[in-house]
Amino acid sequence: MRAAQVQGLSVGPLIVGFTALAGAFSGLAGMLEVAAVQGSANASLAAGYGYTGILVAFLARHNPLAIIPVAVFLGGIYASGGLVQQRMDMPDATVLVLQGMLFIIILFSETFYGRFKMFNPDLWKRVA
Amino acid sequence: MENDIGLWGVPLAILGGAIRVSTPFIFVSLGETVTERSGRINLGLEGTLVFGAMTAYAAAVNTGSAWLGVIAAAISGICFGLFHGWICKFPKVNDIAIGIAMMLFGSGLAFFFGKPYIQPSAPDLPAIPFGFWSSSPQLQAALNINVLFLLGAALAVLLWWAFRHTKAGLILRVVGDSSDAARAMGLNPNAVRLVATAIGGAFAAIGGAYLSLYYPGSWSERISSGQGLMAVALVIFARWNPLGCFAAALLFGGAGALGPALQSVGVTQGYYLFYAAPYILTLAIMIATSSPGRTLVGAPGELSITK
Repeated sequence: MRAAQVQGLSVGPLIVGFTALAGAFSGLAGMLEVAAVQGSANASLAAGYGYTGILVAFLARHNPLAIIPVAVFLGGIYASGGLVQQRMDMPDATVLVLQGMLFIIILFSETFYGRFKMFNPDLWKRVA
Repeated sequence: MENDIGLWGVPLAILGGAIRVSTPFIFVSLGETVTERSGRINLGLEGTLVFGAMTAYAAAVNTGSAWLGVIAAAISGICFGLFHGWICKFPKVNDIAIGIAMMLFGSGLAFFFGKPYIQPSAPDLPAIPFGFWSSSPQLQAALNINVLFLLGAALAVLLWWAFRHTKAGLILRVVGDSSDAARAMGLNPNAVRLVATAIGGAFAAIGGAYLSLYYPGSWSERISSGQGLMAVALVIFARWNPLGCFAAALLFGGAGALGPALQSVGVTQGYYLFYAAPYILTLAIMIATSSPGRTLVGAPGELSITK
């Protein structure tokens, strides 16, 4: 932030602007949910997608391209909830538990980054 | 005997609502204060709250005692807090992201195990009727105060005193303001934070127990309407001061009771808008009391959101 100020960028308005842009994106997500999935505005809209979305950004390591596969993957898990309920006779909260465990384990794995050789990006560059 | 008290019903209903609604906020925000004063943020208290509500209800149904339910909830909260504290101990682990993950995990786990407890009814927590001297039923209803509310008030004073005047409070504040200074004093910041997160989890789970055992008094998947997350915001609003948390929770609860109170005296126009009153009030005070030039007064130095 100090570096950006030294460069003469107007940090305050930029932060406000990007936050507004992020708000616009999530508003768009809400519009899609109403227009394409539910068809009407009702109480089931509040399904916690916002919080999951924050975690998707973390899992994708704030890389916009990585967000697409991560989001599709998590959406798939979420959509499988009905199937789990029918076929395996388990409550639909099973997918929530699975998602939670997945998030915790993947976010926990951040600590291994750079600690083991396997997680070193340079190693994979040499192999490839 | 005047049973129709007219417009006086509005402040009475707000007072009663403030006392009734604010208890979970008090407990969760006190727990979050303890955790954040140690320099860590636990956004997962929402999940702990929901899981605590489920545990308390399940234990109360199975044992027939509401207090055993509260104790069971506190133990489950300690487990969640220890888990969060243990994970965040590792380097490069983001406590905010883990907090959101714990929130989803905790509520998912509560829904998973809570399915069989939606039907049976559990014993309620006792309430003390402080309004016995009055003949007005409205006043009696408003002053019917739950024991946990009094416990929360006592806890707020106790924590406020302990932060200032005890060795444990001093250790907590040192760890929260500077890990380096704490290490130089021979303290282990991770151990202190682990304990603080566990205590915070226990408080949040007791707040959940209040939800499922007193008001609204039954377990369902919609039991929490974001109390856990709002309480985290209230901590910042209260500037990490336990007494401030108590006041902020009361204010928030009172503003939340404005909508139903106005509805009961016949104001039907746009009362949905009044359900947003607590949030608008909190935002307005936050904006009014902040300034872009300096960091928040009283913010623990090691907190990742203020660093």
